[in-house]
Amino acid sequence: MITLNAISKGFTGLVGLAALATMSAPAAAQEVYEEPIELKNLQKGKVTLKQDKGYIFFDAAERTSLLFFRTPLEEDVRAYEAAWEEALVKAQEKYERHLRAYEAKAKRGNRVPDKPVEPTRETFSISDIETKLMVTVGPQYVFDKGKSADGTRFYQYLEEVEPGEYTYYGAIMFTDQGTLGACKCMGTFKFEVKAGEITSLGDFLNMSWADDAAMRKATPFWPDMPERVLKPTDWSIPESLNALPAAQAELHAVGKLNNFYRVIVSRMPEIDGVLRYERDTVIDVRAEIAAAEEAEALAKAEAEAEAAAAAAAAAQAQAEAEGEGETAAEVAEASEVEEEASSAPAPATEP
Amino acid sequence: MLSKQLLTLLLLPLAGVAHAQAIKNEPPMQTFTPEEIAAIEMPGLAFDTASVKAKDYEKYFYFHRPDTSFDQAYADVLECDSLSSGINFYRYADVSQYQVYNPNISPMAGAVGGAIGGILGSLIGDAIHGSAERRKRKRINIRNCMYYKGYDRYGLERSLWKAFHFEEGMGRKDEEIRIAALKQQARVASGPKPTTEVLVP
Repeated sequence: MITLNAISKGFTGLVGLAALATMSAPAAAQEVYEEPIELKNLQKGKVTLKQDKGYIFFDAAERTSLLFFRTPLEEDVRAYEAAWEEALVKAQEKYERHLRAYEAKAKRGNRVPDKPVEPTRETFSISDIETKLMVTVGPQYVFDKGKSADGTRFYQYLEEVEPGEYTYYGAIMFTDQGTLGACKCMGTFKFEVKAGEITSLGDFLNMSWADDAAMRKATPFWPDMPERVLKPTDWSIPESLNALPAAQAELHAVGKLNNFYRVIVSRMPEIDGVLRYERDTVIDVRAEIAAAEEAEALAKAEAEAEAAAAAAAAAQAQAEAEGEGETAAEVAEASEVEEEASSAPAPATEP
Repeated sequence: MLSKQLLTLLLLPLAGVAHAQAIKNEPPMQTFTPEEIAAIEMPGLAFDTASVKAKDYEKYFYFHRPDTSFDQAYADVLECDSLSSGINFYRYADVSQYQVYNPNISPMAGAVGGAIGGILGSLIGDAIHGSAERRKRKRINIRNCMYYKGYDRYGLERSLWKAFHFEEGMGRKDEEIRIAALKQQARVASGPKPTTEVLVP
């Protein structure tokens, strides 16, 4: 059982945050499309899976609340900039009003409040663009829940989203008591969600695949963690979702992210073939592998080029050797001619 | 046929590929002259360990990493403080994919201790959280962050700790006070190796 202390230290995978607090609406305004899908509604025909939407599926050991944000598209950034400009104008208007009130009070000699600070283009900002593109999955509206054959409980979630690239931000929940959970602010992953396809994270975020060495790098509090049973990730999806093709999420490393909600700071364990760390620096292992392959290909090309150059040099040497042979023959031939000439009778000289 | 010289030229960019695999999005590191560093007062760290309870070290601690420059230590301390406080710090590694100017991705955001918007944005998220919980979270966040960076943690007596640290609950200390304390923490983190026992991270 994960304790409150464990959660406060941020080494929750996606464990039962929901058990701790009353849910409230996310504090961040949701400006990105998302729709939880429940099995019962799918079976009753109340909802259908759509070809033009993408689906994120995951399987949790307990009720949970996971945050993902979609990588901003150009139109998202344009909209964000427009919202920023609009908010700045409003903030400046508000500043003018407050400044007038402040000056009036100062003139009257009343109790003078702190002088308002003018918002400028350099200092003003609104909440980060990623918070506008957050998708919150769970803890309510599970796709399905129950007990596995081995007696363990499962909570499956299926979220209908716009196709795009999504980054896992952390197990975070907005509650009446505040924001709970931990961000993966110092190392996480992203994946592509394609239209008309179910992208499965399986039970990957239960972190059961991460051994002690991996967890040690993920949290300094690893010795306090409850006993864990290691098992490989099960990426499968329920048969009830056969209406659409499904694919295992292809994970890619993501660097550090700001702590948007002022929660516990943490990071993912290292993921084989995807993500590793050099101290706090996130290393993109896919890029590393690609670079190594590129270097190997170049080395091979270089070796081939050297071999080809050596072969060409050898051929040239042979050709030159053959060329020298011809010259010798010519010399020999010329010598014979000279000999013939010397043995011939000398021409008569003039008196 | 590619000459050896040409191949060498082609291989040159690979030297930079190793850097490309590291996803770096921290703002540029500030640099300090030896005189500027020397002007930062080294706080006192000597105390009688027998007079302090082990559980006090959960609150009162500092960090040190061997072979670390002051510039690097200050960048690390500033980053961990910003991240723990919910302040915008990072430029985005893949900012180029956003294609356009993002006012929240100012390179100065970290250098000046964070943009105001970052504070406001995070306050919306958990304004009702208690001050004590905020302080506790920040301690855990600093420990996590500095642990990832490879710093060792050492315990300190409370009054010595207070001389170059600050606690923040709902509010935020004056920026000058914060920066002065963070510089002292960096001075310690990059200074002589402490003689006391290294704590669990």
